[in-house]
Amino acid sequence: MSAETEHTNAEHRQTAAIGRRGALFKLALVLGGIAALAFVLEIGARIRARLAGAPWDAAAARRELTHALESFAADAATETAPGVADSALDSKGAAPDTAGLVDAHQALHPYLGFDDLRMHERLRAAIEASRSPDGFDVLVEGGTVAADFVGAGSERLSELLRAAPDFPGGANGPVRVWCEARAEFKQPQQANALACALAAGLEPELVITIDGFDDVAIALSNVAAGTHPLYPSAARWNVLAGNPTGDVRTLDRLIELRRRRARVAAFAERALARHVELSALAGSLALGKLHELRAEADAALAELDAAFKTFREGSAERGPKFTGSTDDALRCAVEAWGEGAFSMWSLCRARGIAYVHVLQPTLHDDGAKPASEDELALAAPDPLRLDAARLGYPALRARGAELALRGMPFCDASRVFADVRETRYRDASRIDDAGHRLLAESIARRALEELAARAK
Amino acid sequence: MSPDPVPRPPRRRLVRVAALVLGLAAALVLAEVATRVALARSGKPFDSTAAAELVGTLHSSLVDAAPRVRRIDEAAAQDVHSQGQRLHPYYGYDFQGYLNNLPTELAYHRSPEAEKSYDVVILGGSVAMSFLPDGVEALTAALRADPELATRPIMVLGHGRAAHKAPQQTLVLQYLLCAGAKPDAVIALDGFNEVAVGFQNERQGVAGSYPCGNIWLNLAGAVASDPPSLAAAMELRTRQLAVIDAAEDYARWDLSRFAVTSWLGLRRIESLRTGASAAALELERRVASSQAFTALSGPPNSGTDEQRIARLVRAWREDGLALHALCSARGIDFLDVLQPTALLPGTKKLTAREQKGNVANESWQTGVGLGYPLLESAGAELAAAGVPYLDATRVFADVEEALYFDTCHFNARGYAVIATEIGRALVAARARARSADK
Repeated sequence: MSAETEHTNAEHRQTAAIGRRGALFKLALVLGGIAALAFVLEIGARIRARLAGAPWDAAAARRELTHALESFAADAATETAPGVADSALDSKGAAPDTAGLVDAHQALHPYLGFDDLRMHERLRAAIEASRSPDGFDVLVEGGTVAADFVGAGSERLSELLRAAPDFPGGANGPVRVWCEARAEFKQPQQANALACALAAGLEPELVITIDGFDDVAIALSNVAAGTHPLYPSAARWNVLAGNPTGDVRTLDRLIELRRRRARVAAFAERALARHVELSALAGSLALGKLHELRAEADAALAELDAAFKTFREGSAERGPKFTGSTDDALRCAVEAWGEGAFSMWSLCRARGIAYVHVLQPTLHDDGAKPASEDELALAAPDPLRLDAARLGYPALRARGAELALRGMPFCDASRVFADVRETRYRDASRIDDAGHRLLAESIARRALEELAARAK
Repeated sequence: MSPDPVPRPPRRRLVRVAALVLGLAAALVLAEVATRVALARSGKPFDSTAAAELVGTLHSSLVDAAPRVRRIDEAAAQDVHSQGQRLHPYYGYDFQGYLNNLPTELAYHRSPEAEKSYDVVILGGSVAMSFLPDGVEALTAALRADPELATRPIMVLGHGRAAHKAPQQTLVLQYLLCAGAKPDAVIALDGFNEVAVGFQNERQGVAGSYPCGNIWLNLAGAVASDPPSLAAAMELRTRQLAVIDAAEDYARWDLSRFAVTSWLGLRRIESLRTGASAAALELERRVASSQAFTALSGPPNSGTDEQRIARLVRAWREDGLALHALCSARGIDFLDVLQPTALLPGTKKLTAREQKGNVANESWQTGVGLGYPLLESAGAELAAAGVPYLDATRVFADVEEALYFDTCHFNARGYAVIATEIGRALVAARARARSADK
């Protein structure tokens, strides 16, 4: 290697060393500049905050981030989302007035709208008994009055049936009266209850349906409550069916809320881990971002709240929108009552079961009963129930007569108290025990006619 | 002063870039060819149309009320809520589309057009639900063989609802009749859900006679009232939405065009789907331990598998009897059809593609395995009792092409085949009824 080359290499090394030192110097300069800028900005941020009347408070910033982390943590969405915990509340946040209709035994039923859980066991017992070779099993369907009838009128009914010479159950055989009636049931609930009981294996010899009043009265009160007249009693159904998260739209909004809340929580967690509160600049930037994310979460909450409100006010669970008049609602109810009755008869006839459909009496049906002083003293009924009796009953009688012409065994018991002056009614439709015994006589007569006709 | 570096000739750089591009292209072509070869060797050769339909069908199963064979289109991709389920007081649950349409349909029944038309209501589960539109043309054509229907307008009204099973068909009809519907004919196309979904209910501790537990318990509030269940439901829904997004991405980027992109896309979808299935099982487990479960799961059932299946089959037979009773009392034609299923051996020679889709959980397999022979016997009893009945379990026996895309759903060609048979059976039933009247 020549001396010239050596010299050149030494020059190169020297130049490279100077270059490296220069680069380091530049880097130090840049870092120093950044630090100085950050320092200036930090000071500026603190001065600005002080001038704005709110000096930078690191402890307060940390508290806010900690609070955001705690309150926006993952599972909080389901605990705080409106409409989940308070889905049974109305839009004003108050528990709806159910007048004690929905008790601990009441639950949603997929085919009857609602049911008393104790009925499961009763039906099981009825099925077992009805399959035994001895005895005559009578199934009673209907609403409140039908359910009362099983308790107060079934003994008289059994007595009258057994007393008839041609009674297929015999004079001494057991007559078992089973109740599948439920308070406030109306068509098609009775028809559905019968279809389900028969499908489950019930084998009665006679089915009696006692209904009419709830069919028209509840139809009108449903319309007043914004529920379709064909739907079950709004006072029970709307309370039990108010589950907004069953709707995938609200569930998706709930998921979006959870996602946005999780973003807030994750951001707060990161900010806390980096101790951003120590710097007024970084801390205020972080709090700004936190507020932005919280606003997004609040917007998602507002959307969810709106979805719940929409669900409560116009939900599909209230049935198709009904805009008709009282007459239209009654027409709808009477049509459903007639078709439900006809369906029940069809189901029984196909299985060789005798059937009687009874139009129950009601106090305010003109000509149904001369009201006693006690009955006159009963509190004035709801105008809707008066309309149901005065306008609905003539239509029910006419429809019943039509069905009878088509062969359906029909018992118009709406005049069963026409000549009774003593008090029989406890309210507009419910009757006392003596009233039920009298009703049993009408029903037994019609049932025996039907049994005799079938025997021929 | 350092010497100037020798500048690289621009041509050399271009050559390098070109080589890189060519290499990449060659790698892609190689990957495409290798994927096709691998798929072909595994007995599943790449079929772009089939892959797109597979993804579309999967998407449909999450977006539509009833799964159907289709490619993802814009309309389907836009609204994932169009067929949301809603609680119904008289048959457990309904679908938003039906609820929206009901007033229009009832108005139709009151119209002069309905008087002139022969209105056929189709009842059942998802197979009945998808009867519209796929089976309508073939059914109408077959019904024209009846002299009274040769020129009469025919209207087919769909009332199948996914996962519906006995007694829901009877209850849907009872509700429609109470609401003023006046059909001329009713066809119940069912049987599968009764034993598959019904037995799945039994396995979950939900009454077999109750609606599909997974749907009913959620709608009825067992999920909402129980925070762990609600969290599990949200997790499931999140995962389902991820599957929907992945399927829509697959369609948007046209991944079915190449074997390699299709394979990668399908792998991603399958992985997300597996996650969703696990979330579904977790939700099921959570709901079963929720407080509301006892109140909403119906009367407790007990017994051996055979006894449980026998009860489910009895419910199906009773449903047929009830539907027939409701119809015959009103002069409505009725036909009860036992639907086919790929799970029933010997009813169709399944193609490789059909075999791949014919996968069911244990409860469905047991339900169908034990239940279908009993359903066939019960159907014969119905026929003997005078109920017009068609055993359609072997309706695809002579068809070699792929019809099924899962255990019980089939494509438009399948609907054409079964609808023709149903039409013929209904015409025959009408002829028998006419001769009996004479």
